[in-house]
Amino acid sequence: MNSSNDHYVAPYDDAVSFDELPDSAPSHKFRLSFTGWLGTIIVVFWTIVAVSGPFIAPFGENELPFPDAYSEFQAPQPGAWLGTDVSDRDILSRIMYGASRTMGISFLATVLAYMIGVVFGIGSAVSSPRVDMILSRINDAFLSLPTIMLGLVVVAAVGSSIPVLILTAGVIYASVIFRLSRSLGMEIKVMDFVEAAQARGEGRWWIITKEIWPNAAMPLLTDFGLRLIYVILFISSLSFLGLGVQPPQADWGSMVRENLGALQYGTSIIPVIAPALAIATLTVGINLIVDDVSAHSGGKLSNRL
Amino acid sequence: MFSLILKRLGVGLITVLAVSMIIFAGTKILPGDAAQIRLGQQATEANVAAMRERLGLDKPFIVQYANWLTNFAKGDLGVSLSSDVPITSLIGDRYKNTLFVSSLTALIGVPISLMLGIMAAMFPGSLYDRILTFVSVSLVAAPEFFTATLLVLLFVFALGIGNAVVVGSTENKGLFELIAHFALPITTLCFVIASQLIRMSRAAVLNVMSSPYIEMAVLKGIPRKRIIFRHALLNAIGPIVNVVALNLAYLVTGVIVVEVYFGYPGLATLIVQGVQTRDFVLIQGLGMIFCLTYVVLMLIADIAAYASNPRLRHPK
Amino acid sequence: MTRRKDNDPTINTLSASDHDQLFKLVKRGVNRRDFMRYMMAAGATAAASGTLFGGMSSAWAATPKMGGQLIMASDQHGPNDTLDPALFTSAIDYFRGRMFYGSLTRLTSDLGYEPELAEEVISNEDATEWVFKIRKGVEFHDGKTLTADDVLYTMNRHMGENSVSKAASLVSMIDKWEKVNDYEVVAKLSSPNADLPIALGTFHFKIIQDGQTDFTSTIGTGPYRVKEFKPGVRVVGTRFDNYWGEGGYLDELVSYGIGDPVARLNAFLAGDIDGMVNLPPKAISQVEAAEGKEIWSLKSGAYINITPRLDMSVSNNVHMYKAMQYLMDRQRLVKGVYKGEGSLGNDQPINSAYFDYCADIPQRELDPEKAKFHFEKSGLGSTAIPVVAAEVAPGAIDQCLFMQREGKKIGMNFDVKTVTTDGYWGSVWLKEPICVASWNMRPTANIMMTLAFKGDAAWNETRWKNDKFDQTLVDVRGVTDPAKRSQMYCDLQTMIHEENGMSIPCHRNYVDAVASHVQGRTEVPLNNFGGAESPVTLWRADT
Repeated sequence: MNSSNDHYVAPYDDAVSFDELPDSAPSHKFRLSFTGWLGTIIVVFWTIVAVSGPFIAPFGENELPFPDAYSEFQAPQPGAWLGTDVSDRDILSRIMYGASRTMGISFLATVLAYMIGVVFGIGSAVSSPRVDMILSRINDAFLSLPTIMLGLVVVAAVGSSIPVLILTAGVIYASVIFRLSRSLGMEIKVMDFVEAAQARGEGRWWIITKEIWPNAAMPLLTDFGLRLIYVILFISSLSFLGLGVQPPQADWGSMVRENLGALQYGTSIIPVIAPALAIATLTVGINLIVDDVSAHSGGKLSNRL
Repeated sequence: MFSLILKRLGVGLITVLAVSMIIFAGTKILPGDAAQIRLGQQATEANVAAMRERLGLDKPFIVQYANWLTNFAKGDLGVSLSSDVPITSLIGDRYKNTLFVSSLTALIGVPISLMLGIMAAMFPGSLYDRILTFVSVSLVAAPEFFTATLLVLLFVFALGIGNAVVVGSTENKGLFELIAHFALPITTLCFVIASQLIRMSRAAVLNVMSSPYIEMAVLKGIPRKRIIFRHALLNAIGPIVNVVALNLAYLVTGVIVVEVYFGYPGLATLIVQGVQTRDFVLIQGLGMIFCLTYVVLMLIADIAAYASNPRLRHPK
Repeated sequence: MTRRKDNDPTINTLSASDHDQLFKLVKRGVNRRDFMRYMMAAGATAAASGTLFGGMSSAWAATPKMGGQLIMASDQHGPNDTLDPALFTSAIDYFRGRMFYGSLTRLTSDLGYEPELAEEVISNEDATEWVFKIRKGVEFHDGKTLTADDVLYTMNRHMGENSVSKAASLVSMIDKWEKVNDYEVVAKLSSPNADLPIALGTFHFKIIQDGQTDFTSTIGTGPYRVKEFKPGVRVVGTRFDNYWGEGGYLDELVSYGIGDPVARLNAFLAGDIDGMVNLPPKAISQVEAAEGKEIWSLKSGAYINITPRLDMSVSNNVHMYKAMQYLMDRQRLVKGVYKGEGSLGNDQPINSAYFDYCADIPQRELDPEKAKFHFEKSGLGSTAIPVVAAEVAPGAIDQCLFMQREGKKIGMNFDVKTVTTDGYWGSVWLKEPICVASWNMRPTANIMMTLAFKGDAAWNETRWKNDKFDQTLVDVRGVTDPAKRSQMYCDLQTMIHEENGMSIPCHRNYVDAVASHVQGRTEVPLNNFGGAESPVTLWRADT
């Protein structure tokens, strides 16, 4: 969805301090609130569906529940508990297959983005100013191009497949993570406890692993949830333009897309609402956890006020 | 302060140069030969060779890049491969549409979202705050085309207001007519940017609220409202302006789905068509325009951040 | 036959909705016999039904009114939209061409031709020399008069090896064009072609002005002149007051492109546009039920297909493509995807919409047993068979997905990859080992097969080459004996059905939707909007 919309991290790190930055090394004890638990339950539910879906789905993702009927957008009924889609297929089965594909692709892409972004970002923060400058400028260049445009060009050129989608999304979103982890690294580097470590004569590697990383991990983790959502929407947008997950494979974004006609001329609107709700519940679930975690990791005064 | 702005300008310029290299090299790597595309399927080899020479494609890579960049600096974006029309004339009308939609979206969407976000920050944890957070989270989760469809069904079909697709000429129309024309895409985009602006403005204000000097003000017993409007807000301007600028950049460059959905010609659809017809010259030109838009907006955001923040204006 | 509706007792006894329903039937082109059958089933007498049909038909064919504006939306459009007739490639190009230009001949709904800018067309006995007498007093939009020079200039752009024309193969038998005098030209052919005037009535042979090289705007002889031309955005034509013929009734005709089918349908139902091409078949019943909306459906020989290249690996396996043909779920495509707005295809391009259709070839059906037999013989096992698809017409992707599903049941593994539509013709079609395509109908079986099945045709999709086929195709153009001609066309169609390797699972009707105030329908089944011939005759009933 939001191409450059999601680069909400400050482009010039000294212009803003990150809102989830801890005041000190965090304590690792916190308890989930009610909403946190709700989020966890939702996410666990979808994870279970994603893992087991392809094995327990009543039909294959390209199979017809009623092979002799020529009728799309059927209302829920025995045999097709959520009805049928634009090509007469079983929606429930496709949602289950879609769970593993949507969550799998976006999870892997986000992990990839983090691996690239964090390594280069924190690396850049602790290297010499010149290396930092070069890496940052290259990163700026990537940031200044709209994500959806980059994705389009790459996917249209190479052809769409799941590995290509994961790689493209991973690389594109790495530039955001780079910026985020670099600015975190910069801020933490000059904090008292790190400077103290430097004064003690600890090595660079020690500082990264023992001081910077534990402090940066929590804000990065909270960002992970949001980033995951953006990747899901990015893939859906590509599907909308016909370059996402390939039919007949099901993913939630393309399910919304291919069944959009149901709102206009279908007998049932479940074909659109079901996958849209699936995306919505998953992202809301992730967000609830993120909010809970970030509330516990910093910015406590705001709650006390 | 001027030296800092100059420094930012320099950084922006370097970014633009880096992007130009990425774009140029990127489009060279893409499969397909520009001369072949321009001439079509039945072209003979001699014709293709002649066209390559005319387009300067037989020259070394570096020379091609330098020519392209100098032409771009002069405002000559080249000729489209798929239609033989200068890129600038393809862009003309679309840029107007895009600018109109994005500026109106910004004018409506940004103030409302910021108000909502700041109000949420004034009463953190309240029912209002929780509802707003929930709504904005749900909005983040909705794909643009889904939001757009719901809006079309609600306004056009249930209420009979607005256009499902933006058609007809936009010339010789009054402002209000134009607004009615683009009402639904603008509303859709407002929802898209609102979710993020609400979240970020709330976070930015809360972040400032947790800083020591505000804590001091609280201890002194100054009323909340006054703290937020007199002190916190001023200091939160930097980050907020930043998010706003990013969203504006998105409105100019990234609204592909909305443009395709509402069928109005804008810059983002043009790039989709460029990719589909393998029109490298078009992709290069638009890529540079997008990059320039981004860099300029970021520059403005930076200057605003400096102007509002005394600590940054007078560095130690 | 100027019967007024209110004088007819039968019409008065009908309820408003019945009346609407019947009226819609007439407008959709139902013939008298079917109409009467329908009425009599509902209890009406034959005489009353006949009268009603007459009344409704004449009510429909009312006198055109002048004035007003219509916005007609096509689907595919983009920066490669052009005003150069020789480069036309898509339906929106053809529609635009009809707005601004005229051609020597005009095609009729029975796929014959009538003279247009040529007043008279005369051939010698063996159809190797064609004389075109040019209509006098035809004015271009800039006031210049049409002469032989303009015709010669236009025609020569389609000639020669270096011609950029997309339709050069249709006139490749012409040796040269000669000017006889200011109002007469002659075409000299190297081999006979009785269909030449029909070919010259198709989309690409629109007459331009002598010497024109710049197509950013244009000067034609058509009923509308260019007010605005923005590729991929919008085209606006205003009435040309000195148009020589009947037509050009609107003040303004706008041609617009909306690629997304759902967006197009939304715009149409909301009344933002007056007509749209390629209504998604699944929305037909919704449009029929809507107030003031109608469907223009036209039976045609247009088809969708899957083409294996016989000169590339995997796809050159005879048993593989035979298996593919037996895996096509033709019934589901016609009934499920097209909702009946189409007919079964038989792996050859000619159907009953063509004059030279051969009805004797047995229909190929979905047959998993035979498919399995061929699949086993192919020795492919679980090798992934790549198929590239784009939604170039309704059902183009579905046909692949259906084949994939049936294939899976017998262990055949198709790897279907979908790509976007617009770049498809340039970057995928004719290049990939197996891909889909969509074809418009052509005016004659011979033109169709010459364009796409002759061994040396640029658009020979499978690269199939059969000398006997090529020879018969050329010979039949000179045959006048009906029995012999029909036998030869049957041979040609059988050869494609048996050997070409292409799967043609179904033919599709052109299904467009228009608002009720859109009048002046043409019924040439070669494209959307009545063969893209409608710009001349369109008028608006509610002005």
